[in-house]
Amino acid sequence: MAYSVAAAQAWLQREIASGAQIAAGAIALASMGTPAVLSLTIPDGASAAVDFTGLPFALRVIDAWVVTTANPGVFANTMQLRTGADANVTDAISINGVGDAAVVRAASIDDATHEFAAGATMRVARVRLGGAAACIFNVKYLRVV
Amino acid sequence: MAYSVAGSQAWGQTHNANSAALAAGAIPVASLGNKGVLALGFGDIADATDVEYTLLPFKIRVLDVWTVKTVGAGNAGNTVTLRTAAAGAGTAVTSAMVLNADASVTRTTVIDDAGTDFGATASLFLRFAKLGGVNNGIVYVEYFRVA
Repeated sequence: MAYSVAAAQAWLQREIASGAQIAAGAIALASMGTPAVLSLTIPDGASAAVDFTGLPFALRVIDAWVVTTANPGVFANTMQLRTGADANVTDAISINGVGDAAVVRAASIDDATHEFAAGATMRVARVRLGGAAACIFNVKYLRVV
Repeated sequence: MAYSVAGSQAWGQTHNANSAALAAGAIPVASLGNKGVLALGFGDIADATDVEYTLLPFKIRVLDVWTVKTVGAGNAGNTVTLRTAAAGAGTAVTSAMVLNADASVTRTTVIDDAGTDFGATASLFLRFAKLGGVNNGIVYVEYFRVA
């Protein structure tokens, strides 16, 4: 089969190398995973759960941050990553008064909920008390097997 | 050889694409590597203790480091630092990252280029301070492979 960039891209997306957490001692090759990013578009709207369903493979959330795509104004608007069962993964990331194009990083990640199984739902709890809530919620992850 | 998910995973873990720091000028493909992450887990490590992770499979350059606290509260004075060797030798690569509230994320504020490259078979060291609570957590080390 002839090589194609599109096919190679699809292969990489499907076959992202997993990374296993290790304890002190030898560093196994299986722990040298490739981090990747899910970029979740959160449209403006009233407070609600924004669900992303059918995760293609199991993963662990290792970092998360919000990039605002509109000026949220000065309101207590927040974005929080949750499981499909509504358990908190990150803190409620405040975008209060940050302006458009701001980057705001998660201050906490709960190891009790940081792993999502294949097929799972990722939820972003959008809280909009005023202004705009449009943003991108970026999730950095490691694939787990 | 038949395709297998495990085989594909192993291939990806072995073949992190190299990257290289560039000077101004042309950007070669060889500089466009992919990153990797090591998840270094640790328990309630005592004060003034070094923990060693050994036999790195290939050479890496550390790009970023952060911690996620697990298993209950620590203390504002509890910290973990990535080092190239145990205390008294080598270099502190990161700042001393606080291990306090459960689930808190603490990012390094320092990456010392004197210690960012770890050779194949090298060890990574975590140095702990503990003034109270428990120290359990994860240190994530984001890297790219270097030739």
